[in-house]
Amino acid sequence: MVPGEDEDRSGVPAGPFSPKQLARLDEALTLSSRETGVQFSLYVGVLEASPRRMAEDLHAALGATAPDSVLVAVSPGERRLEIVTGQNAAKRLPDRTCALAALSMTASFSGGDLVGGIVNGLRMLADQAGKPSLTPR
Amino acid sequence: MTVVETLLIYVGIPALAFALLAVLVLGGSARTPRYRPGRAWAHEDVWYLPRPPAVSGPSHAAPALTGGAPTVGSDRRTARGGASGTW
Repeated sequence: MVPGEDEDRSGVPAGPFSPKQLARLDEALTLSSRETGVQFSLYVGVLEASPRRMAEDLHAALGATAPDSVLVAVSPGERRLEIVTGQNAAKRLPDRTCALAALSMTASFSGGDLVGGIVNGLRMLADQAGKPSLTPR
Repeated sequence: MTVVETLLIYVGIPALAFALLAVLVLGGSARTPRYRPGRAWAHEDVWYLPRPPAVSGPSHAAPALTGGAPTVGSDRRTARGGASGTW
């Protein structure tokens, strides 16, 4: 291995999650999206000065899939969680449901269980959203 | 029993067992990064999307996301609801 390569990596770690944790997150995201027809996406990183605004901007960046999308944005550094629902997703997931999931997630986060909180929160949201309706929108 | 044998049995074996346990405990946790509330988060920002359903061809329906920072203050708001939380 090149010595410099290892030094570069020590500055900013490659990713916040281990391969096992990544597999859990991937499974939770994929299964909940496939079961419900709502596209769940997960952002883990800095949410700057106005977290809600930034999370909504990220949601808007999803483009054509944004109305059917739910963005779960977690900022572990600022201890801040934002759940943003799109137009169609909000019909399936009212704010009260999102607040309940957010409460469950923050409870896990405060105990240091980042991945467990995210996975359980996604499961709660997916359970509440239910199956996609057969009638076309 | 000679002095060397006594030392090996009563000092060497416990020391070896202790070292083995220490390696198992410390070696396992060092690889998994652990989040501790209140500590700074020194990782890059990541954004995960669900895997698209199995595709046969090279193209699938989901459009590629464009990179870069989102345009702040854009008129197009897609958010309709949601929730916030702190811990």
